[in-house]
Amino acid sequence: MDLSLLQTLERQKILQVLQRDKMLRTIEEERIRRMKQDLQETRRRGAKTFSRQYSERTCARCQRPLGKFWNSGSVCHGCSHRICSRCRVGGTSPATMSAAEWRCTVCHAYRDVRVRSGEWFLEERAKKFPITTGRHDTVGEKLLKSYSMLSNISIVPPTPPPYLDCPILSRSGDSCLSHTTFFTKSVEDLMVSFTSHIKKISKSQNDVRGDQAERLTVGKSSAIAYTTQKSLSDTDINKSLHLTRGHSLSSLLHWSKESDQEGLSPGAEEDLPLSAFGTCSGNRGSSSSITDCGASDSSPSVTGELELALDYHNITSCLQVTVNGCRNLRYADAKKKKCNPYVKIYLERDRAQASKRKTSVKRNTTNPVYNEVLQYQIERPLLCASTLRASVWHSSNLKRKVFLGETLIPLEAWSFQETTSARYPLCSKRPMSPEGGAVEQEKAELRVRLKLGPTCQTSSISQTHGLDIASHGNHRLTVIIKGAKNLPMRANTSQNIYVKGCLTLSRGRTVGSSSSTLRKGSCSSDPPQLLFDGLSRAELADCVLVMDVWDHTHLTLTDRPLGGARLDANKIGLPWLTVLRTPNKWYDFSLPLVANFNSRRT
Amino acid sequence: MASATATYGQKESSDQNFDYMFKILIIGNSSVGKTSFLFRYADDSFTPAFVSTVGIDFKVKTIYRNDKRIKLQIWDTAGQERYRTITTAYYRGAMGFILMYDITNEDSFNAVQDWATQIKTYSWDNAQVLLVGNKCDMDDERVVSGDRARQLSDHLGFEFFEASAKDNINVKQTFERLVDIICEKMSDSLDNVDPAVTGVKQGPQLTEQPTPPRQDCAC
Repeated sequence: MDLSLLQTLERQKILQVLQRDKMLRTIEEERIRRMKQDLQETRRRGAKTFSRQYSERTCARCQRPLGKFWNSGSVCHGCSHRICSRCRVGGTSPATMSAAEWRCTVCHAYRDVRVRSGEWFLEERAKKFPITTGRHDTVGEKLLKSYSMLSNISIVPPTPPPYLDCPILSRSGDSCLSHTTFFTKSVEDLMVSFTSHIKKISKSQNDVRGDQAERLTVGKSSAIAYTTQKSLSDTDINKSLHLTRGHSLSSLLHWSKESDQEGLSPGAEEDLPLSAFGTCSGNRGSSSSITDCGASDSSPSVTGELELALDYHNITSCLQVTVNGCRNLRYADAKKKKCNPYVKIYLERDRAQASKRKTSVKRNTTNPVYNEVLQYQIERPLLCASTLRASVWHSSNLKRKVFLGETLIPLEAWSFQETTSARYPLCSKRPMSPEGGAVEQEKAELRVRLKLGPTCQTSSISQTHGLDIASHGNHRLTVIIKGAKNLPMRANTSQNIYVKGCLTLSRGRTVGSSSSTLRKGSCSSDPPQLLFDGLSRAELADCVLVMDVWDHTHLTLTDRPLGGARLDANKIGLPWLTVLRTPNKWYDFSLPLVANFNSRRT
Repeated sequence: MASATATYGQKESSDQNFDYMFKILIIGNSSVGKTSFLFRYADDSFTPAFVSTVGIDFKVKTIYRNDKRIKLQIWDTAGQERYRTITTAYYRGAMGFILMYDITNEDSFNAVQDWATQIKTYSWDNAQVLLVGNKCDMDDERVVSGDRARQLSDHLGFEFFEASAKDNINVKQTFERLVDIICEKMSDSLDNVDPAVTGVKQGPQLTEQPTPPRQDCAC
């Protein structure tokens, strides 16, 4: 018989016992809790306490007056109060009612609870082992805790190890056998850690801190043990990503020279953090207004013009933008004839928040007059390289802002002597001129990391949805969603983003997968991923991977699409084919997100 | 010993109809019959086959004793050394111990001293221990005489029983005696603590009559 298997069974048996014990203790705790509640009630009813003044000649419990000779009461052995004969418990007959035999009702109840709850034992025991942590925090509890912690880990392996290309060790290559043995091993690790744990406890029984530290170590050590076995901790993953980044980056650069540029902007954003989902999209303050390009496409044509005057003071390095006003603006709400316009300008070399200036809001007019001066402190050489982007927006209190038009003024062409106001026609939103250099940043991108590897058909950790794995090939395509940037954020975007993937294979078969949600700002150790199982090499020859980014909204029932990306074996060229041809290697892609969803095949 | 009847059929651990809960630990060398002893007591069953206990196990039994319903959680431990770290962790929660040896096994008797030391180390100061020589039905194979055991138990301050799980000799008595002495300890503990807790003021009534010595569990 396999020894390790036997040990696993042993562990399981012990943990079952501990679980049973825990149930028993839970019931017992409930019983004790109720008992103590009752005691409180009894105490409350027995009104006289040490703190309250009372006349000597009444019963401390029932407040009945006590006589001098008849029914004079006597002092309770427990609480030293004078108690009438009715409020005594214990003592069998009046003849033997000596002081030691009875207690008043409250003392009796207190004593009773201490007996019944086993508190007497805990008190006695505390003389030798001072109560350190929670009274009920027993060894079994700790073991169960550490076990459950471990079992969580072992049931859901957190992430595929990206740099391990050996098929047996990599997640996608998890064979049935390796799965069981690793589980066995993890449980063994638990035992190792918890036996050492107990050893430590018994050695340092009186040391609270040591005890707690030990408990921490149990979790940690088991996790570490696990990590070395199979998986990678967060830091490891980051490290590994850095490791692979160098390789894949250079290769991507290499490929992109040969292939068409579509969809690849290698290296540009590699410095972004892993959890960069949405973090680059717009600026914090008015992200809604900056990147609201989706709405402007469908909006009515932009009309009107903006009157500006520019003035630069060489001595103070100060650019003054005088916003005179606008004319013939379109209504933000054409039906209600509403328009509360204001002007916002950016001095665009970058989209830094600092360069934003806004005028006040003029209410209910399409010909607002501002005459406001907005200033920038900027050196002249820098100014020459900048573009002034002035946009007009409709402001309403609750709803999102409405874009009314904008104009771009390249300052390179501006002669500094020209300080009179000029009228600039407003046009619909457009990317900056190539000189501005900000076009690249505008583009919404999805950053993914792909690997093709063999898969285990009976893998219990398959996360695919609605797939018939068995009947097809034995390859798995793993797509880790590293992040997205410049997503078209709207005012009510929840920023809980997930990705739906659809892999269309050569024979027309489609395989779907959906990633977990990636919340903004969460440094998840478990990046969302898509898994496509049961693929054969033949099918993959000219497959198309379409990934749609969705905004998981809490308030509305339907999730909202944010954009789609496409990996087409026929179009994108070499890198994607390389993924398909060289299994077990990770490749990074930055894919442009397109708002058009019609390309998606379902 | 007060007359008492153990009530059977109250084994459900979820039963809350009881007054106290005592935790008892059975320890001793491997194969002295700890598990058999427990099974005889809790289930009134016996199997001659030897199955080594894995780590720890427990059974729950509710008995009726001194007008109180007492729920016993009896922990059965593995005698094997390799489980020692687990078993010793449970010493601390136990109010009483049954230290068992096999009368046909000299080693198990020689280890009694060590087990007693373990109890001293890992358990509370008032731990109640009963020394039990099991397998007294196998008198023809006996290697540990009752006198030697009695001497040792006197030396250690434990009470002593010879018992047989197989023939159901002294099994119930052992547990009941242990419950009784735990009860005694309990009332001692309560009487000692009471004045300290409540700050007794010595009234005239108290000095009139000396407290009669307590003879039984004052539950």
